[in-house]
Amino acid sequence: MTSNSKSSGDDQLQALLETVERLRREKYSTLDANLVSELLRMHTDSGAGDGEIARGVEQVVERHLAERA
Amino acid sequence: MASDKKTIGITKANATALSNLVIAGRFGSELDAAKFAMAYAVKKGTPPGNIEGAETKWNVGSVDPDGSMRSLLESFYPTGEEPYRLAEHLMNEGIKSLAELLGANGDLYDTLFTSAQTR
Amino acid sequence: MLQIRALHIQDFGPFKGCQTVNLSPEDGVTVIYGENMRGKTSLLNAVRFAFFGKVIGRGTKAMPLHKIGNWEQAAAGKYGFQVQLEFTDDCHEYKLTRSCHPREGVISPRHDEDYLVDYFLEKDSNVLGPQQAEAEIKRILPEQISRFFLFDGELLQEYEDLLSSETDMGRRISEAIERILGVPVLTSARTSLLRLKEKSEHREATAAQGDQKTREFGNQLADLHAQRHVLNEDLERLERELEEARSQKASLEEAMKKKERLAALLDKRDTLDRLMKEIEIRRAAKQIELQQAMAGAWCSLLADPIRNATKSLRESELALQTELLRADVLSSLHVNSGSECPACLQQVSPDAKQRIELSIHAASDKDRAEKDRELAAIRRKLTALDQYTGASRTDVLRILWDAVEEAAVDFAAKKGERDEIAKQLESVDEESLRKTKTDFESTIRLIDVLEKGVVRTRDLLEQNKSDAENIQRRLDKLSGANLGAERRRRELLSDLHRLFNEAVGAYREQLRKRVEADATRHFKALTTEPEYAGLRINDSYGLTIVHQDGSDIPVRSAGAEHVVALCLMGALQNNAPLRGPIVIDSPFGRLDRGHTRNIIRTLPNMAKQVILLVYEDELPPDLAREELKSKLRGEWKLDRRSARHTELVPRKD
Repeated sequence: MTSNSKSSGDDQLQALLETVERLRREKYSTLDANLVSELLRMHTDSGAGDGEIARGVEQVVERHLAERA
Repeated sequence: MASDKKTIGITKANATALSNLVIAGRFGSELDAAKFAMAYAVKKGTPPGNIEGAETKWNVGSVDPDGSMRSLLESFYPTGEEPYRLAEHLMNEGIKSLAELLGANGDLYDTLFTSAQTR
Repeated sequence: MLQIRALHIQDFGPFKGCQTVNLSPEDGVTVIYGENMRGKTSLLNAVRFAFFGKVIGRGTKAMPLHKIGNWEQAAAGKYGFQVQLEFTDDCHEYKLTRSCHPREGVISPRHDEDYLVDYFLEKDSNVLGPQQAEAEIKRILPEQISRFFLFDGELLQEYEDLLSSETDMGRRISEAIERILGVPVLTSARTSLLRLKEKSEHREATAAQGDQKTREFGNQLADLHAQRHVLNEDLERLERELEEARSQKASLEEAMKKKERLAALLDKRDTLDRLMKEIEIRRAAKQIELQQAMAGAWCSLLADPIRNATKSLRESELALQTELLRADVLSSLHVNSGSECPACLQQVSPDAKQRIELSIHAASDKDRAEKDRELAAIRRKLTALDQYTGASRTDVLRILWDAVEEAAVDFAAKKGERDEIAKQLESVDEESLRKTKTDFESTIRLIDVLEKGVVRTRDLLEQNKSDAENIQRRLDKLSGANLGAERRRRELLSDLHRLFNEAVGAYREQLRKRVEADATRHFKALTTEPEYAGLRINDSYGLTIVHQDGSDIPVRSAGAEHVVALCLMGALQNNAPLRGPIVIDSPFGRLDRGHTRNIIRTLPNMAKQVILLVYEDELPPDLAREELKSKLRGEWKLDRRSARHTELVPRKD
């Protein structure tokens, strides 16, 4: 029953992104917007296992830190 | 009268019927039930007769201590010579009839109370 | 989006043989008419069975498979059933076939164990492997949220009750709702980041331990982390035990309720025993009285014969007495041979005298004695008859007899009652009943201890956190470049974690507002009461009707429950990424015409495909056609062939 053509599933993702982005702007402006949105997207993949996601998150964070260093 | 019976008995065939009658009629004793059966037979107009093969149950002294029952029977059956023999006959006939009545889902209640005289 | 194209059922419920419902691919409403007991709920169950292999009976209990197959077929020795669902989702075509048949070698199945249920799923004409098939089905329609799409009107009320109470079920449903609304995305992001943050903190502490300058703080931090780890485990354990204790309490409460009933039964049984004893004593006493009275019962039978005999004996007595008296008179006349009759004082003629003499001689002394004896006998009989006339009191007998019978009847009735109760108490273990109460009390105590433990552990964790933050701050001031990288990592992760943590709350709040707004919108379109302003939502997605003056309408009719639940369902459909058909069984049963109209009109807005299972009184075909107009895509009816055989036919009128 998941979204057909990129409609409702994406709508939901959009809503999540908006919420997080708004909070980021208000209170965590030092955090990078792209990083945040990428982390969020990673967790929408219901097919991936917990371990996979954890590794993925770590990689993304490390990459970000390396870019800033 | 000298030849009249000194004991009164119930036939083997009637023995069970008599026990059932005691229970159905809530009698205190078989004698009470037997007297009732006798009265029933009288009421039905049973003709006098004689029965064979009665197994002794009671002495006439227990059945009729003051002789009034004998007088009663003599009034109902004036031509009779041996009232106690008659009594025995009537008792056994009455037991048979009442057994039939009870067997056909009759109730002693009706026999007692609907045909009884109102005072 | 899931859309059903066709439902093929075979020997399922009252649907004997192979039958099909075809649904239009266009958006709109299909109505299937059927009187009660014709199979409407079976159709809904067929869809459930296809997706989940389960069928729900009354009261939400799963039905045994053995009872589902068509009975007429079963009577003919043919067991088992099958459902095939054709549907599209996301531009793919699916065919889901699930069947239930007796195991090999079983000729007359009787229990579920005698059956085998299996299924296969075709996607675009390719049969999927079992694991893939399972994953697809779970993705397309997860079971926990199926209740928002497969709607049994009978369950609607229950559903609302569940949501508004603090029950286990209520929590599960809230979680299910949040799941389809996307909350898990944020909570799992939060968890990932928390783990990473803790890992990073640990690395930092280790690094600090490596440097002499920072070793002390490093050690302290490491200790605090270790303590935190233990405290987290403790907390997890305590919360788990608390959960178990709470459900234990719930089941003990159930048992206690039953116990109350049983204790009452035990009391009743004892009372009946006592009463029965009393009745028996009374009856026995009356019985004795009656027996004594029955000794004279034979007299009552003889009342008539006694009366007749008395009458005739008195006549005889009178006749004899007269005769004897006459003889005496004649005799004295003869003896006193004066010529006067003492009676009439007239002279007695010689002729008359002669006649007298003849008469006297006719009666000899012997005759006379006999006649005396006869008279005495008659008198004796009369005395006896007299004695027995008054001997029986039938009225007293009757009273006694009735009293004994009444007591016997009373006794039998009470005994019957008592035997019933004894049967109910048969399998009851009185010992275990008592134990239940003590178990309940100790569970309450345990819950109290655990709750206090949870609070204390959380406090300790808070303390631990603030201590760690303290040390961290001091460490930050002291640390040099080698710790810089670790610190940056830790700070980033910490911020990210906090962000997502807050996002969870913010998103939930937003969701609730959106669901509340959508539900209110639907509600306003559905309700016929102008003074209702809308709906208000609570933390567990329960909805309250709000009056225009701002107050809550706390109590609702069953019909109102229906309407509110439908609104929630519509709101969830609007906000969920999962959209699909709504299949509703008897939604209007408790609604009036006004609400029915409104709902019919609004349904097409709630979902693209709606399937209604109704009976004609509930939703007259004309009304449906009038309100739906072009949105009415199909009409079917459930035709009765026999009590256990229904045929699905398109409606032609």
